[in-house]
This record gives sequence, C-alpha cells and structure tokens, in this order.
Amino acid sequence: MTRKTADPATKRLAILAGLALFWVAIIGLKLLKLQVVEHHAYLRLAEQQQRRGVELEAPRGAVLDRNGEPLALSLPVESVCINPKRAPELTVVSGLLAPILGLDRHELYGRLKDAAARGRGFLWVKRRISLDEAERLRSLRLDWIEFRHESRRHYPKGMLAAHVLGAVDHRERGNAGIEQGFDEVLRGRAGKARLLTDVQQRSILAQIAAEAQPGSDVILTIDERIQHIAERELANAVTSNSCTSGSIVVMNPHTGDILALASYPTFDPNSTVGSAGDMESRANQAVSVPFEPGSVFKVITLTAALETTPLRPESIIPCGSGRINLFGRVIRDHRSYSSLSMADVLANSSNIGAIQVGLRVGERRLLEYVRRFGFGTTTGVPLPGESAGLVRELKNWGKSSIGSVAMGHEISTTTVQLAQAVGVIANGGTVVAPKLVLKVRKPNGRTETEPVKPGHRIIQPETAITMRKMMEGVVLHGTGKLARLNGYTAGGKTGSAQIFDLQNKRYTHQYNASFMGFAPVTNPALVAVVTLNGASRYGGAVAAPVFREVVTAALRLMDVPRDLPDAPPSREDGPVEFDDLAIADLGSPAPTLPEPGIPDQVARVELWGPTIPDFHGKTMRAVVEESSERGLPVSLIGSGIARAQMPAAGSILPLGGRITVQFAR
Amino acid sequence: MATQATWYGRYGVAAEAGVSTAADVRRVRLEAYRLRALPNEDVYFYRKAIDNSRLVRESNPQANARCFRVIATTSALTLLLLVLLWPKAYGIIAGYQIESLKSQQQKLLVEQRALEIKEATLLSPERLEEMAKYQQFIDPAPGQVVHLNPKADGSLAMNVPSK
Repeated sequence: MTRKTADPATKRLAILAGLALFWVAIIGLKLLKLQVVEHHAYLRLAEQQQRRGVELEAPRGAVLDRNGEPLALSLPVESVCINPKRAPELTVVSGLLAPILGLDRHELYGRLKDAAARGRGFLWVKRRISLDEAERLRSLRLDWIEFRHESRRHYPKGMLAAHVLGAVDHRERGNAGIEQGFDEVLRGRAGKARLLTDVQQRSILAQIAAEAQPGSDVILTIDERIQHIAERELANAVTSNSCTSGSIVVMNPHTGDILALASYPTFDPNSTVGSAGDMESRANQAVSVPFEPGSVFKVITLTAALETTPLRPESIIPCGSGRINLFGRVIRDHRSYSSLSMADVLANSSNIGAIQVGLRVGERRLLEYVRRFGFGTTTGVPLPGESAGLVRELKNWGKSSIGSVAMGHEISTTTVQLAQAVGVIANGGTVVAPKLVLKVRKPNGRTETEPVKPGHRIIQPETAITMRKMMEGVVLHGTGKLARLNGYTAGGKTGSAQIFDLQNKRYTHQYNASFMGFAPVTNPALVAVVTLNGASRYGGAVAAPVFREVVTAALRLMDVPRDLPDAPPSREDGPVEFDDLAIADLGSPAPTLPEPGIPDQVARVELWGPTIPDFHGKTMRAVVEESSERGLPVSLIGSGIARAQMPAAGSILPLGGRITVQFAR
Repeated sequence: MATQATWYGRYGVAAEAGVSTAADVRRVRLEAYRLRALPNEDVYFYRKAIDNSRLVRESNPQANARCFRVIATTSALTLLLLVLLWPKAYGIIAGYQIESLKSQQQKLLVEQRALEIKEATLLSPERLEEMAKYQQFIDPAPGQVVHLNPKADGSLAMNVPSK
C-alpha cells in the first residue's frame, strides 16, 4: 500500500489558498478593529466630515406699490468665510482667494495673519459675493472654504419713495420707513438642515430640521406714478424757491389710502448712511417734522364756527380795518379789510377775520375741534418716528392764544395730519386715518388685507359741503388761484407761517408755505397737502402750483371723470393775491413781502356782462357768425360741431373773458 | 532544415571546427562577413500534423455538478448582493441628482430675482420719463385734447345732415 502523495499543482494551490485566507483574515481583523473596536471614534470623524448643519435662507419679503410694481426686493447672495486655524499656508490661501474675489492679495494675507495671530476661528473673506465668484470658489472643492447665505436688499426704483420705504442695516433689518415699521412681517425666519456630503463636499442628502419661512410681501397704498410726479414737483419747487425742505402727501379721502408721500431732501436707500447731511436727508418731513401750519388752519377754525355758531359763509365778519387789540396785544392783518363775509375771510385769508371767528367759537370748543380733526395725536401710519405735533392743554393757553390758534400758530402739525384733516372736509365729515399698507401677501400666496380703522363722523355733512364750497372760493378768487386745475374743480387753502428763530427768539421772514386742497369739489377723489419749509414767498405762490401739477396728473392717472372742459390757461385772469400770512408775532406789524410782478390788489369776480349763448350743436361758421354779431370773443378748438363750451350757456361772461368752444365730428 | 540552435550557433562553427589562431578566426569572420547569407535564408519551417481525434475526455458528472453549484451559488449571491445594495446605491445617485437639481433651482430662482430687479430698474418712472423726453413725447397742451361727450345712446359720433 503506497501513501498517496499530493501532486505539485495541488500543493501550490493549497499554499495560494492559505495565503489568500491569511490575507482575508488580516482584512477581517482590520475591519473588526475599524468597525467594532474603534467604531465610535471613526463614526464621529465620519460625521464631522460628511454631515454639516446649514442654515436655510428665508428671503426678506418684497415691498410693492398698489399696482404690484416692486419697490424693494431682496436678492439671495453668498458670503465667503474661512477658519484661519483650519486653513493651510496663509500665503497659499491669500494667493488662491484674492484673484477670484478681486481682493488685494497682500491685504488679505494681512487680515488672515492677524486673525490667525489672535487665534480667531472665523474670518469673513468677502461678503455678498457674485454668483460667478461663488461658482469659481465652489469649484475648488476646498473644505476650509465656507459659504454663508445672506441676501442683499435692492431698491430698483432708486430714490423713489425713499422716505416711505426706509432702508435696512447690514443684517437686513429695517432701520427706517416701512422696512422698520413692518420689519417683523417682512423678515423671514431662517430654517436649519443637516446636509450629508461626500468627500468632495458635494451634498448627497439634505435633512430639513426646521423649515425656512420666507418673509411676507407688503403691498403699499402708494402709486409709484403719482409718487414720482409728487417727488419731481416737490424737488422742483424746493430748489427753485430756495427752500430748505418740503413734503407732500396725496391721499384718497374716502379710504385714507396714501397715494404719494414725499419728502425733500431725499436719499438713495441703496446707499449706506454717510455724512451728517445724509442723516438729515433721511428725516421724513411729512411724518416726523411738525411745523406751525399757519393759515391752512383757518379751515379748522371756520369749520368749528359753522358747527357751533350761527355763522354762515355769507355772515359778515368785522375785520377792524386790519387791526385788532386782543387782550392788550395789537394784531394786524396783511390787508386792511373793514369787513368780509366768512367765505371771503377764508378766500382772502384774513387773520383778523379768523381771530374774530375764533373768538365767537371760544377757546374750549376750538380746542375740541382741533382735537377732533386729529391734531395732537399720531395718525397711526406705520412709519417710525411719527410726530403727534403739539396741541397745548387749555390750561397752558395764554389770553391771546385763541387768536394765535385760530390762524394756525401756537400749534404744530405734520403734513400727514393736515392731509387727514382736509380729508374730513373732502369725504363729508368723517375722520379717516391715513393708510400706507394695503395688504400683506403671505409666502403661500394668501393675502391679508390690512385692517381698516373705522372712520367716525366729527362734523355734519352739510358743514363739510359748505366748507368745500368756501375752499373752492379760495382757488377761484382767493389766495389759491395758482391751484386751479385744468379740467377739474378744486378747493383748498393756502398757508404761510413765519418760522421761529430759536437762536434769536423771534419770528423770521421765512415761511412754512403750504397748500392743502382736494379735487374735484363735488366728489373729491383725492386730497393733497404741500408744505415748503424756509420759503421766502407765500404758500399760494409756491405751494399751490405744486398742488396743481400733482393733482392734475394724479386725477388723470386715476381716470377721474373731468367736471370741467379742458381749456387753455386763461390769459385774462386778473392779478393774483397770495398774501395769506398768518402773523405770528402778534405784537408787531405784519411783514409784507412784495411779490415781484404781482400788483398788490385783490382779484374780483365780475358778475356783470353779456349773457353767453348756447353754441351746442352748431357749426363753426354759425358760432363765429353769432359771436361776432354779439361782439363776444371766442376761442375755437377742433373742427366739426360744437360739443362743449366754457363758460356755460346762460352765464355771464366776465369782463375781459373769452368763450372757449370745443368742436368735434 | 535548420533549428533555432543551429541558427543562433552558426557563428560558433569556426571555433568548433578547430580554428584556433587569431588570424584564422579573423579570416573565418571576414569570410562569413563577405559571404553572409540573406536573413533567414537557411531557416525552414514545416507543419507536423497531430491527430488527437482518438483522445476522449472522461466524463465526470460530480465535477460538472460541483461546477454548476459554484456558478449558481455565486450568481445567487451576486444577485442577492445587487438586490440589497441597489436601493442604497440608487438612493445615493438620486441624492446627488436631487441636490444638484436643488442647487440648479436655487440658482434659477436667484437669476429670476435678479432679472426682476433689472426689469423694475428699467421700468422706473424716472427712467421712462427721461426716455419719453428724449423721444420728444410730451403731454398734450391744454385744449389740444378733444374729449368726445357720448350721447345718451352711447354713440360717440353722428352723421350731420348736409345743408
């Protein structure tokens, strides 16, 4: 029996198998060490490398105008930072990052070295980098470069509605305007996610720990077209009249919607705060800066009189030939009127007349009406720093304070308060709080209309209508002639209040020139208040034209039907009297500034003359024949058949007047 | 017929032939040089036919079965491994794709927002006004616009009988 010996091939195979088994055993042991013995340590290292927490951005909501035009938008951007402790050689880091980010290599190296020397573990390399820069940095796939999500606020319309919008700080938190007032609504809440990444820092899976909540969009009542016109005209008026500042508010008197709110000087919200002058330009003159209103306040005095006394527009008010002695203090009028009807007191802005009316009302009732109109309290517009103005308690009134308050002194108001007050006259007697935010649109698309504060009646509708007619008289034949609109009726009141010099403790010859009004008269679609601070001319001369330009354009944009035919500006208008100065320095004679080129006399409405025939439906030839037969001057516009005429048929043609006839086919 | 050994050893023929002196060797080499044949002139290959048709592979059903078992087991294990690993692998691939698409979506959203900002800037009233002025678009003068007053029936025009 022979022992069976293995052949060499089998031996070699057995050796190979043994070696393989040994190799497998070594690997198994290593795996055992990695997976079991040192499991936790390696798990921790793996998680450090593969998992990282990221912040999910929640973009700030947009601010839009009432037509959905964007006024403020946020653009998500990235900022790049590094941990100087984790970064490799600093010269390499600066040499790598500087060219991509457009930074100075030496400057970056200095910052890195400084941060490393101080032992800081975090350094912003560059904030708010461009998409291209982020892409190039990301392609480097370096784990020591970190990206942080941020966003940059853009105001694409530049300076438009700057004071309404405000601005944001470097953390994108509102620091002025609606950005601050509605910061909680606009600001989103960032979410958190855990990101699983591979060795090249490419994300594989994101586990959201907390969902990001973007901010809501805020839709304003502002109409950017009207806002632009208001800003343009205000800037023109302030610069051409060498005023220091100015403001304008255009509002719907029925809803309280502020269609335009402008302040001058203005600023670009895209730029950061620079000089002290820049800070001044950021002050919202319409909301935060109160001033003595002057003669525009006579509207309140006369309204109180209509409500509480038997005085009517035609009631004769003694004007003492322009002088009154009020508790030992002599007050003078800007003109010597012996007596005026109450309507003319308003139209000619007689100080003595207003004081006489105020005395009839009485200080207690006058103060009550001042408060009813909303003076002395904030209107509630969601803009920070709104001033309540100043209305003193009755116990703090002096003996002659009734005279001062009746013509708009010893009291201070803001432009937006005046808009609220004139809105009462325009809407028929209800005080409606100004509104700046129309609705809020949630990220899910659902819109929430801002709650409207219910208006409450403070004067009778009859009183409001009477005041409207009286204020129309101001525009037609009073101090506010330059506020006459083309195609629309309008009412208003001019005001010029002397500015008090705090250093010299006396009133200066510079004015807060203002005009507040509404249009059209029968059913006002909007009210507007214009204030120019530091003017050397009166409100009727400098503020009324701003009202005319802004309101005419706004009514056209709002498609408000005209209640007058369009007519070329009449050249036959009489001289214009603007002097509506509310004399603040009650003991001194009234300073009278001569208007260059404007004779110092009151324009009168002549009520005699030829009766105007009816040209409707007649041909141009027939109109010319008839008018020349009667000796009437006519202006013919268009061709075809007479469709409209101004003045109306049957009325009296004023002296020097001209009939305008419009023809159409 | 020559073999490879003959071929490689042909220059050693002189030594083997008993040529010992240096002059002889030089002579032989010179001759060889002078008379060198064409390459492979003396190499001949031939085909030798081998008939293996009589060889028969011995049948081993056990080895065949073992072989098939190994193949089947390996295939089954591979399949099982694939089935187990496929969802995980697919999940990772899908994760990459999802994250890539998310990043792309984010990029597009940013781009969209940037375009919105650009559009809003281009449509700002101030710029439009400047363009209108440049194009000499001006507001019509008062009285230049004729507004047609519609009649009660809503018509804006009428035929005037000629006289």
